[in-house]
Amino acid sequence: MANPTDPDAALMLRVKQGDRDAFEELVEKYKQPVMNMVFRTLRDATEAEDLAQHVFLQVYKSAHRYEISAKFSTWLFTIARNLCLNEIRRRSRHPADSLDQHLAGEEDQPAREIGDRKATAAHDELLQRELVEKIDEALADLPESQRTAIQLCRQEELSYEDIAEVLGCSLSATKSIIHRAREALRERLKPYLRTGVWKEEE
Amino acid sequence: MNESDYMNLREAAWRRPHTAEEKAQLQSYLVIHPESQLEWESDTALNLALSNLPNAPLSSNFTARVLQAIDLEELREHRRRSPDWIQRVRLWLPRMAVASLVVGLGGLGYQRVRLHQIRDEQARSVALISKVAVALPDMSMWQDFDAIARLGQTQPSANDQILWAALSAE
Repeated sequence: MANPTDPDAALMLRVKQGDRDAFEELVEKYKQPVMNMVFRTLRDATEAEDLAQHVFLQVYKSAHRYEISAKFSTWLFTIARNLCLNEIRRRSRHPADSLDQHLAGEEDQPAREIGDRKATAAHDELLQRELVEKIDEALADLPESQRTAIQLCRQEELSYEDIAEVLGCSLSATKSIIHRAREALRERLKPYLRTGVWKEEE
Repeated sequence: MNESDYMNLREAAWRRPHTAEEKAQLQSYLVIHPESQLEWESDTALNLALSNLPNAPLSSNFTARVLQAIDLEELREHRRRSPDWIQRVRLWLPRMAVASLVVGLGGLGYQRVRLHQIRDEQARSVALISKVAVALPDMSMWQDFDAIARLGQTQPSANDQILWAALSAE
């Protein structure tokens, strides 16, 4: 349920009245989170950006259907997830480029790199890059609902109830999905988790 | 604190850092349940790994492209909603213009071809007449033409008629 003082809901009300500036503000705020979710589903930056644009286009076209009672971010990520699912289905019918293809694992293929901005030393940067690739591979191996749930957990403004709404299941089922996803990731990334690279700085 | 409370603390840590009170509660639990220590440490490491995942690459003009796509969509929608006759005019006017141009150019082309053909025929006629004119006798031969023609129109005399009849009878 949307907070009456939710700034996103207020912006969407303006969008419903044709306010393009309000819509632009929403795009600026959510473009990265949407792109993160779509990219980790499609695994191709160009296609992910096209789909992410389509998400916002769909939001604009469907603005007249937006209900103030719904939280905007929940509505937005539901649209994003549905479009991702449509794309997954389309690819399964036309498997020119399988989603399960792990180009990063092939020695003679360049990995689909994600820019890293946090490491400073060259060695640490290489290690960090390798760890990020491993996480991405592990995420890609998860079933869609688990991968989406993990991605949505990164969105601070989404509560577990909101995530449940996007996934279309109950709160307990959602927490179970997240729990299973994390178990799978921990198992897959065990060697890296033990290195202590990700230890919190005390 | 029971296992359910411990689970709630874990779930909270998946989304945000613990408060001081939550940290204290967790420590108390782990002291009593040391078997959960390893699980908690790997959980923490995973939390950190996921939170440190870099953002996906995104074009600097992403928003501009979204707005551009909306403009295009609105234009399409506007055209779709235009009255039928305007749509028909928009559809057929350019086609008719092209067709008129093609017919016009074709007509002009045909006219030029016909003109050349007529000129060729005229040139051939002139050439023919020139040849005939060369073969014709001198004009001075025609000066007594009227007199000669009148001679042919006179009736023969009676004596000539009797002579002709006699010759015919033989």
